[in-house]
This record gives sequence, C-alpha cells and structure tokens, in this order.
Amino acid sequence: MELVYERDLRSMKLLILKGTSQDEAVLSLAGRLGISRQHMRKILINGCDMMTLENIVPRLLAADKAAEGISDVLSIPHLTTALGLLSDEEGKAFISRVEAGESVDSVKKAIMEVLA
Amino acid sequence: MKKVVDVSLPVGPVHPCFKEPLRIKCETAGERILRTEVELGYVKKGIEKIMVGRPWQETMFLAERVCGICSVVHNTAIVGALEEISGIKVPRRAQLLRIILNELDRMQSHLLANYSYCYTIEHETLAMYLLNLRETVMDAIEKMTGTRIMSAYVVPGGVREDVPDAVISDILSALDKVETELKRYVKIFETGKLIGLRSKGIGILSVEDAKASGVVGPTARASGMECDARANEPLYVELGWHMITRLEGDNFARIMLRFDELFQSSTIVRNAIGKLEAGPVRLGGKVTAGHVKHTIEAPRGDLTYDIAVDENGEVISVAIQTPSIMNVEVASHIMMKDLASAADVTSVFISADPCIACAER
Repeated sequence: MELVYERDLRSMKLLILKGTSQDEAVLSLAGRLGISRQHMRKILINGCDMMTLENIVPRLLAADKAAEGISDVLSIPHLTTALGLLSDEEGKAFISRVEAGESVDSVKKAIMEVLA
Repeated sequence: MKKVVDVSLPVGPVHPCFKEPLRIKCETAGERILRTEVELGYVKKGIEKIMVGRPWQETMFLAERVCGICSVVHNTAIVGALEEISGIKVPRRAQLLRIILNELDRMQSHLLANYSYCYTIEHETLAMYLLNLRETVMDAIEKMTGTRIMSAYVVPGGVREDVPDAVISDILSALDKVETELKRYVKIFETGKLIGLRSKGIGILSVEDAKASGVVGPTARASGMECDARANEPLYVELGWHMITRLEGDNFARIMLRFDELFQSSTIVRNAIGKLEAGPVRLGGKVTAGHVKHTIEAPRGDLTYDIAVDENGEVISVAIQTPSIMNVEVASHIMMKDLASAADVTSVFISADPCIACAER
C-alpha cells in the first residue's frame, strides 16, 4: 500500500545531524561505541525521530551525568533514556551480562547487533 | 521509528490549534496515546549555515529572523555573544533598556502562549481577552523600538537609540493596564471548572523526566526544576527577579507559571524604569576573533549561541540551541506518552509553548 502523506525523512534527518552541535554529539557517541560517524548516523536516522535528533545534545549531556560504572562503559543511559534506541529492560540485561562475567567487548558487540 | 500498533493518528502539519506547521504521528490503542513521532521540515530555514562566512553585522539581523515571536531575545543573545568575545562594555542605561525590552518581549510571548492554550481547550473568550491584552504590550514595544518585531534594537556596545520620557510613561500606562486586566483573567483561568478538567493532571512531566531530557524555561520550572539563566545576571536580581517554580508539572501548572511570570516581568520593567539615569546608551568597540558559548533566558527558556568569529569579524561556526528544541521534544515524547485521550494531544503540546520556527532554525 502506498501511503499518500508518508514522506521519506532520511535526508532531512541527515541535515539535522549535520548541524554543528549535533555533529559533535554524534562523533562523541560514535567514539563511545567504537563505530564510525556514518554508522552512528545510520543508526540514529533509523531509530530516532526528527525531534529527538534535534535535541540530541541536551539528552546526551544528561546521559553523561547519569552514567556510571558498567552502564557508562556500555553507554546504556545514552542508548536507553536519552535516545530510546534500547528499552530499559534490554539495557539492564546487557549490564547483567557484564556483571555475570562476560567481557565488555562481547557485550558491546551484542549491543551493536541489536542496534543494527 | 519502529511501529508498535497499526493505528496511527496524524495531527498536523496544518492544524487549527497550531501556530506553525509540524506533524505529530500518534500511535494509539483506542483513545489512549501509546507513543508519538514528530515530523519536522516544513519551516527549516538553515540560518546556522547561512550565517557561516558572513560578517557579524549581517548575522545579528539574521539571528532575529530565527523566530518572529521572540526576535528581541535572539538579537540580544547574538549581540551579547559578540560583546563577550570582544570585551565590549555596555553602559548602565543601555543595560536597563535592554532588560525593559526583553521583559516586554517575555510578556507578549507568555500572553501569546497562554492565548494559544485557552484557544486549544476551546475557551475562546479568555483566549481573545489575552490576545487583546498582548496588543497592549506589542504597542509598548513598537513605541520603544519603532517596530513590533525584528527591531534590531540591541547593538554591540548598547542599544540603537535612547527612549524619550513620553515613551517611558506610555510603557508604564501599558503595564498598569496589563496588571489590572490580567488579575481578572488569571482568576477566570484559575477557577474555571471546565478549564480545570482539561488542564489539571493532564500532560504531567515529572522532575526526573525533566532532568533527563534537558527541558528548560517555564516548562521545566512548572515541574519543580530551578533553571533560569537570569539567576546568573546580577542586574536582574537587583531589579527584583526571583525563581518562580511550581510542583504539579501538568498543563495547569505551566499556564499558571506563565501568568505568575507576567506579573514578575511587569515588576522588573517598573524597577528598571525607576533606576534609569541619564547617560550614554551606546559605546564604541571592535569585534575581535574568539569563540564563546553565550546563554540568556528567552521567554521559553535557555537560549544558547555557540559562535566563533575570526579577526575580520566573520562567523566561522555557529550553533543555536533554542529552548523549543528541548521543550517540543519533551512535549511530544514524554508529556504525551500514555495520554488517556487523543483530545489532549493538542492541549498538552501547546501548554509547552512550542515554537517550530525556533526548533527548526
């Protein structure tokens, strides 16, 4: 079915992410997750709406303040509360896996699989 | 975004309750709103990109064009940023005149916001009263600056021109009228039973959610968050500014808080007028190279200009963080989540005083 009023918003979302402060925020989050800027942009464009992308800077700043210990290493507050890319339950499950002895790298890889 | 239900209720982009175009797609289960998605892009101006490479003399006019409702504060913010970079001093009379204009601007913006809310909840009588009262403030602004909006009154080193005594008395008369009539309108709002049904306990924003989302201005203060950039300005404190907060975090609290701030702004203008002394309103100065993050309190909350200029005064980069970015996002994603009725979507959204022109820049 072709929806008359549905538009392809990817180019507009990319324009938002190219804004000076948004671009810095994307780079910082990409650095945390160990992925490229383009990959981070793709995840954000697919997972967030336009208003969340506009507000990405204050949301990530708030997440930086909330993050501590393992959740900080895995960037869980950034991906759950701040951007809604993961649910709270998924975030807690990833933290539990590290607490249970699984390596951080392997959990990070699992997070990236969910985000993709 | 991932859809969780099949029934999607689109609101906008053109809607009688919206002053500006934007589309909210609500995913519903019966009457209940499960989650929403915002679609922008109808008034994207790209002002940040247009500013790059231009001299500051042009960018101060461009900044005003970010928003027609609060153009004064964009003008004040970018000029303040340039003054901070270059160490340009502003005479006391000009500082007071800037505060008078900014508080009048806050008053007209709050009156427009509360008008929009009353119109949205179908209390058109009170809405029209408030819109009519806003004209009194707009007339005062016009007498002071020569135009209703985009006056370019604030310039580096002071203000464009002095204000004659006759205009000062006109401003005081306007404040008398606003204070007298507003008391009656606040009572109508506060005691209206139907208004209470549409406003109390609707669109609640908890203080935890407010902190997580970076919400600012009256929307944050109505949820008990103490955040106001005027707290960092000693002259405001000297003129009687104090933090106003409420704890309910619902539609009613946001509107009542703006009413309270209207009275406070009126008092600040009166106190500023009382402290006006003869003197220069504009000093010289030269814009030098530098980079600064300058924040002031706009009617809707913290407005930040992150701007870098070179030694010729040309803008190298600029990022404008308007309060509506945070407030619109919070209104659509947090306040509307799990709303009991789709009929409350517009009223919750308008209660956060959204400005799409600011959000899209």
